Amino acid sequence: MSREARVGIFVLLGLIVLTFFTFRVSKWGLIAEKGYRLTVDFDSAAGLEPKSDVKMAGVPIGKVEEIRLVGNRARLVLRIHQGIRIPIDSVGTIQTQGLLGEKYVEIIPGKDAQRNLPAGGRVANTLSPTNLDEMVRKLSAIGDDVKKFTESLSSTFGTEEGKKALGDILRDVRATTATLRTVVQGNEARFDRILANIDRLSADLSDISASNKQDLRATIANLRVFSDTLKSETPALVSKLEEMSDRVSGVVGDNREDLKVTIRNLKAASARLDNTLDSAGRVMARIDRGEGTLGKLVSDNTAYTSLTSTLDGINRYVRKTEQLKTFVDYRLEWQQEPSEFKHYVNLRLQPTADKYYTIGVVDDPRGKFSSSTSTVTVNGTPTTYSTETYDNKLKFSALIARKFSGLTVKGGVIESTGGLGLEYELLKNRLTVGADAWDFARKGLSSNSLPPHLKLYGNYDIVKNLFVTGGVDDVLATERNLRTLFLGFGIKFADEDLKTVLGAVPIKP
Amino acid sequence: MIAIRNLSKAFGKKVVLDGLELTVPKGKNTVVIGGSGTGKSVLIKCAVGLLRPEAGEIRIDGHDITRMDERELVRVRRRFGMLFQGAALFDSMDVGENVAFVLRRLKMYPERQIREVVEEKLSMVGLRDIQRLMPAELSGGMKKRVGLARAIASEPDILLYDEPTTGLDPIMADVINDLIISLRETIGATSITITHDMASAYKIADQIAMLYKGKIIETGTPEEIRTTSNPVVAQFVQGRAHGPITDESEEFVRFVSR
Amino acid sequence: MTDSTARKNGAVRLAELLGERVYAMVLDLGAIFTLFVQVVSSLVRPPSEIRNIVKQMEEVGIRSMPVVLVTATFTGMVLALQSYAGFQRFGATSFVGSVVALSITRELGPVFAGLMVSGRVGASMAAELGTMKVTEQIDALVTLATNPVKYLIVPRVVAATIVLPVLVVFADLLGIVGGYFVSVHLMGANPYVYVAKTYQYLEFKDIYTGLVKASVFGMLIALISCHHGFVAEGGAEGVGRATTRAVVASSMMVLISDYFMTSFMF
Repeated sequence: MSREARVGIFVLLGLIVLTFFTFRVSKWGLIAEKGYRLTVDFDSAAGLEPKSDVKMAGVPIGKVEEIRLVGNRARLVLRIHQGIRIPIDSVGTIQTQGLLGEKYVEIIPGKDAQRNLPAGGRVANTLSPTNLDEMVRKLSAIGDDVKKFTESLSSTFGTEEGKKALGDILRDVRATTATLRTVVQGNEARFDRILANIDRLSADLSDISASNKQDLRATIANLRVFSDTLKSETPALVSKLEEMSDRVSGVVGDNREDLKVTIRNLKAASARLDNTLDSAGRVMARIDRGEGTLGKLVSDNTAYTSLTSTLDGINRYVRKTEQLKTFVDYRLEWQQEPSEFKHYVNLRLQPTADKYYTIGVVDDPRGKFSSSTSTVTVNGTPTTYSTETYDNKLKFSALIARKFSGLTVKGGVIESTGGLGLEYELLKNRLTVGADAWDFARKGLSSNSLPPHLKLYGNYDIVKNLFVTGGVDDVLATERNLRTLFLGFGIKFADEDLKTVLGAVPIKP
Repeated sequence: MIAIRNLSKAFGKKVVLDGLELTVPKGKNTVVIGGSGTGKSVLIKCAVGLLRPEAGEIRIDGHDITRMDERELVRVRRRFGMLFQGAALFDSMDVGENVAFVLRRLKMYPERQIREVVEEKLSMVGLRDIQRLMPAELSGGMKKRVGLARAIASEPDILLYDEPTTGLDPIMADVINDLIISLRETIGATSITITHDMASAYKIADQIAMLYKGKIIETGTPEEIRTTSNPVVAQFVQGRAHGPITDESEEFVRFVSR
Repeated sequence: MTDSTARKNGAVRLAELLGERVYAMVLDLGAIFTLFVQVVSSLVRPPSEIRNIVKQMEEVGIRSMPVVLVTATFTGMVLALQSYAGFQRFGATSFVGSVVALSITRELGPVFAGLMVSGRVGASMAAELGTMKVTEQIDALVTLATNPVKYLIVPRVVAATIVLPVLVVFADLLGIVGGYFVSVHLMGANPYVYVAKTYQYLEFKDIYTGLVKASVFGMLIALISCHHGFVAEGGAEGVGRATTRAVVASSMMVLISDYFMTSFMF
């Protein structure tokens, strides 16, 4: 074979392989594929790519051919394999597969088996993933509101006055219920009948739902279908409700006298409730006027504005990289030797994910060490006793820490002396193991130098806010049983938690 | 005719040619002699345009090649044939291809004639039936002869020989000398030969020029050179270890006084 | 006193050495660029060097096939093995095919082919031209009315520029096949899923950017190696030095230019 022929074959083979690749990966390959197109619109196609799968009942039936913006919604062009029939009332959703969140389009088949979507047709019904997100967001907003409400209540009733008012309310309610009880006791039979009616009503209701179980199942995937169904069933429901209200009014008619008494009692109760609310109102008014500490905090505009401007300033400073995060933790350690508790309170400011500052206070049961020697002479033999005592001492720590992926290096002041520490995070950051070393110039009893204070520890987060800790303290010490095991637990709050704890603040902006 | 005027060439700080003057008469063989490393090769590479001098001119029939651009040079170079010291045969090609190289490049003959022309040129250097051999299979003398055949393939009117007899046994050297003489006679080419082989120089030269310290210090017929009064030339042509050349050169002093 | 002078001299010497190196590098780059300009300008001038180009294509392309293909196959295999081990930890083994295909076509195919060709072809170009230089064959070319850049360098540069993408196409194919073999036959991946994932995220752009890169690598390797061969001096030893320089410089240039091309093209 000549040289030219060899080179020619070489290049030609390369071109063939390239053409093969090209057809496998490019749009031409797709066009050559059989099948028909459908379109479907979503509020968001986030995470979807051209060539993502289209599935029905989990079975791939095609691919996403194109994604483009129409108006402000995402229009997907799907290519569905030949011979796949999709009912006209099917619903399109975007779903996530696997942990990495590979997105695909799932078509939930409709019930209308007679009519299928034609080629080029549009899947009219969709469920956007954003709807779900929004729902979750709304729910959490509601939760926040409820939290705020209960917090304001608790702050209202937290005062002495509030407590008294609460007592009054409770007394009034007790009286009211007593009255109610007597009313009810005299009319047990009638109440029984009411209950029976309600029973029947609920049975009817469950019938209604039972006859539409199929629909309800579809509802889970298709809220629109559900509401349609509900609409169609509404007349029946209304008639049932009518019937029920008839019965209720019958019951009321039969017991008019008793009810009158009940209402009178309720009226009296509500009058007292009025009084209570008055006093609550007075509390609120005082808060509004800025009386009392809470009131000051709530009403003092200057304090508030200075606070907000300060926060704004901090935010502006911090926003450059990331929002400042604040953590507060408290921990308790039981030491084996001497058997006492050591307390820690720390405040951690974390301006960026990879570094933080900690300041903290430590109540150390053996913070201060003192000894005294006494010589006792027994039977002419002098014996020297030395007593050693530990005393509580408050110490403080201030550290700068820097994170390199799992490894944190920190340094600064540990328990009032210079120190260094290393920490490593394991098990998805739930387990932290570390070593701190400080007090490098430690002096012993007879001013002999002692090795530095080295503490090996492990923390394990049981839940977000609660952790347990344990390890060996003063590992290097050889003297006087300084080396000790310790066990403990702690609580910690991130700034989200702190906001709810300190939630009283935003009641009155 | 080749007229070299005031030619200077330096490599970095080292001045090799320093205002050299030489006239090469047409149809004659001019031999440039000189010690190793005195710039004989530089001179002939300047003459063919392989090296560009810093100053001076080289006129070939009145045209200064030092001022030509590459395209003009290519045209002028067709008039040149050069035999390199090591023959410089293309070792990826066989002998025939080597000799035919320029013929094919310049398409001087139709392809079917090239074989004949190559055979003719090879016979001019006394070789036959070696077209299929590769340069690696040839002896030193054969290589030189093939190189010569290649140099004359395009029928140049100027031939440059760079140390044609160096590295050959005396018999083979004489064969080459005879070839050079016969080529001058048959082709009538103007030629420059550089050598330090005095036997060869006396045999082939119409004119001998001595290159020393970047200049031509004497020019004359072989007889004039043989009987020169210039002590430098005399030392060189007589091949004496002691004399003005070695007295001025530390290298020689050290070597000689050992 | 003497000690401090010695130290100072040492420091000065070091600075000089560094300066020399940088100066030499800048000179080299300039020379290579000039060479490129010469190559381009003499490309269009007659006579066409098609026979030489074909010869060099055989040399650069066909002769490099075995080494490039073996490298690519094993690269694909080890890539699959490593990705599998990594992705298993978060249950994404179905992506091994995509990762192998993308890595090979976008990056590893062109780069490994480039490095292999630097080693094999760059060395041979530098050695061949270096030998021609020190035995005056290049001078001989000039006296035979032949422009050595056009006759020797143009065919090599053109051939390498054309042939390297072809080599990379084969490297892509074999790399993917190697990855498939390891994933399906050794790690027990589902062959259908593997093939589907291989093509699902692969775009034509991934392949052609790899080929464009390969083309540039080919050009750079040939230019650099020819340059180092062309400036070789000092006999066999000089040829050896030129060869080493050519291989080192062209391998480095492959990686450096790869970064810049990647950052411009994607």
